[in-house]
Amino acid sequence: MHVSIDPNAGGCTKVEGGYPPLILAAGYIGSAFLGATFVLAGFDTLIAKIMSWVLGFGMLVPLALVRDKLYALPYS
Amino acid sequence: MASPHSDSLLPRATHPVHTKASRLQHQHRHEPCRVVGPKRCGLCNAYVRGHPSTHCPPPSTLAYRLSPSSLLRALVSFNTPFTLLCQSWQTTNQRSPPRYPHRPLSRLSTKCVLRPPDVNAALTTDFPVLQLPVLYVVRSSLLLTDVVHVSDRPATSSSQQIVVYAVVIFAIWNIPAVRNVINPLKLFTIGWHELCHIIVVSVLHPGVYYQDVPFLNVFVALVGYPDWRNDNACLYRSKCWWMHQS
Repeated sequence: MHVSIDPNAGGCTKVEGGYPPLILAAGYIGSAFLGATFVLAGFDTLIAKIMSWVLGFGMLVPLALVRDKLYALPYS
Repeated sequence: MASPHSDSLLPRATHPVHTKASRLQHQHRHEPCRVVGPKRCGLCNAYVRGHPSTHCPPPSTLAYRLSPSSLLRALVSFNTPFTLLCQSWQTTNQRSPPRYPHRPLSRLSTKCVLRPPDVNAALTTDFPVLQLPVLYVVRSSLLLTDVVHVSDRPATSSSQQIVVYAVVIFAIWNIPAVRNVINPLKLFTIGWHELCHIIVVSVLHPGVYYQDVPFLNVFVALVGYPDWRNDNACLYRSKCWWMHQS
């Protein structure tokens, strides 16, 4: 399996095995589900604060695992 | 010549007057206080019976939303270190209500509980005696209305806010130097999109997927089902190869 994401070029995932139509639709279904969760969370203060942590953690994970930003930060 | 009303300034003679108000006051003095105080509407400043935010709807005019009071209210209601500091002692007291040996008080179940300084509370533990008057003064000076009306107000998005968000994001997306600011957001969106592919192909369809993560120099095995009878090889090796470009 190979995963690469880029802010300008998009993402690319190479997998082996599985059912291609289901895997193809999974990205759009998951993105729609997450977007709907964020929109609905905006109507409640507590859930919006909880989802803000999800957003912050989700922005740190690609920087740490894919872009190597947080790993190279102490050595820069 | 003395005024006919000048005697009203003199202290009156204290004598017991048994009225309904005095009985209620006497009864209230010996019972734990469970009344947290009247609630006022944040807009018309009138006493309301239910939730203050349901009394009168806020005006949706642009002049009201850009007024200093609205901006201050939005600034304070947002999560700042100051508001988190204000809410920390309330949350702490909700989880562990203070123990009073002499006069038990009610639990701080609502955010509108603002108690006068208590001498007995100062003698007991786990009650923020010093923080309480400081927070009360600071919050009262910063907020035009009660903090309850601000923090408990449901966060709703109007059409004007959506237009502002769209215009700001479109500007950030196209300005050459500033467009790098939203790179973490784009990476989060793209990464979640690709992660959904990985979740489906790894959970619903078993296979062996390993990844060498160059973070803390660890070798992380992602989800999958290795075939232990075949030297941990993939169960569905070269059965299907598929690539998705988003």
